[in-house]
Amino acid sequence: MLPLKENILSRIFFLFVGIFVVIAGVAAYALRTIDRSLASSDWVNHTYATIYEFENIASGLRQGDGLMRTYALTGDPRDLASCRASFALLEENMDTARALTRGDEATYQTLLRLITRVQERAALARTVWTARSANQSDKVQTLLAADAGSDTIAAIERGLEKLRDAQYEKLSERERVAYIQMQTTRWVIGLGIALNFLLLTAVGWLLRDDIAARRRITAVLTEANAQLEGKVLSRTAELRATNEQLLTENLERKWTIASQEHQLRYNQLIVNSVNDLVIVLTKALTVTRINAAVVQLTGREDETIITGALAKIVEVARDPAAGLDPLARALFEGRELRHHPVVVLGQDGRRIPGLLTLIPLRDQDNVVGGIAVVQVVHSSISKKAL
Amino acid sequence: MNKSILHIDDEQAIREILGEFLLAQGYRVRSVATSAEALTAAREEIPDLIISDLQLDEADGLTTIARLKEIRPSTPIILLTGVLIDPKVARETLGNLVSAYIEKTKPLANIMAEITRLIGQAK
Repeated sequence: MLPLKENILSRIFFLFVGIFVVIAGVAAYALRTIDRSLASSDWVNHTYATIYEFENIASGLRQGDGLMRTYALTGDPRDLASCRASFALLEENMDTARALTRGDEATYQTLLRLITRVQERAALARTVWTARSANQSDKVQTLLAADAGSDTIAAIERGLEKLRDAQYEKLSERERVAYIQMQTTRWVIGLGIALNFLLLTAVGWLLRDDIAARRRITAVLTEANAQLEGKVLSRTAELRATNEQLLTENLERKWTIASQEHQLRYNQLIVNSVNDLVIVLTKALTVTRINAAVVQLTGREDETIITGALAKIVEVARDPAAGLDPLARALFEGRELRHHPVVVLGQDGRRIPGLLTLIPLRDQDNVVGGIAVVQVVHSSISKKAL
Repeated sequence: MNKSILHIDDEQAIREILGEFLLAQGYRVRSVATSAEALTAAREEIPDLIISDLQLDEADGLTTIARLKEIRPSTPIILLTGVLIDPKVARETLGNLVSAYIEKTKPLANIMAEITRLIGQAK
């Protein structure tokens, strides 16, 4: 398995780093959105609680005022109890509303002003039910007649409605912001996914490219290997053939030498088997080779004869008028000389008559020497010849 | 199995060189020096070809060839000799005994050609 190329490895690493960064960014943004949503949810609950208290104040004021008037008419202690409970609950509602709006200074100040007026109504109610409990009907009638009554309550209710509407507006605004935030979150997540998809696609493309490159390299290596193997086989075959040829040539040389030596020995054997004297001469009548019969007849060793003059072992009869040695003349003229009388000179002084036949030795058309064959003759023949 | 050749020659150098050459060509070779060894070898295993010298130390090559012919009549025999005989004369006088006559002075390639002609390749 080939290792990934260094540059491809670093590219894939950076792409995965990019993927991780995108995932981390999207996750961080999503967490931040969740936190915001939670905070928004708390705020919405708080706002709805505030609105609820505003409405409770309005309805409690209207209820308490009604119960106060009912008690003024009936003087029934149950109505008084209801009236007191209603105003007590109203007081609690106002305390809660104050607590809920303390973070919003403008609303808080407006609420305080309204609460002051509500408390004035509550004080009137207490004055009325105290007078009624004391059976002071005149005072009660006077108090009720002097009271603006529903106008005051209507003014307080309008003030509370304004505060409530302002809270609703804030809710609407918050919902709008939340919607935009949600949409933005969707876009961020969508873009993150798309970006990661692109990055993963890039990683896949790089890997695919690398795999394709590896396949190409593998194919090239396989082909190169096959070519190399082919060359090695071819070269091996050539070397084997050359080696076989050299072996054959070497054996041929050995064979040639052995067969020639064999042939030479055989020829030597034939020549040595001849009883006549066989002497190989140069043109200057120097002895170069002899057969065994020469050694045997003359009693001389090979080395004393070979390279020496023929005259040392053979005395050639010559015509004094002719001057030139007849053997030298025959070789010079390139002709044979047959049965020429000679005397073989033994080492012990013996003089053995014979008849010499000279055959010119030719190399192409040139006479390079001669072969002298001396046949020993009986005394009578030799005397006649000499 | 590769084809076998029985080679008879009294000269060790000749036996060694021709034996090595025939082995290189893929033949199985049994080289012997005497007529007696040749007859023993021919009885032990049927050779595909016999190559014999003419002059042996203790016997005439032609006599040996005649006796080998009696033992293995279908085996071709090459007479390989340093005694130069006119090829035409050799064919006429030795034709009934030997399948071919080759002079030792001929190259090994010629001997190989004659072997191939008689028994084919080694395998």
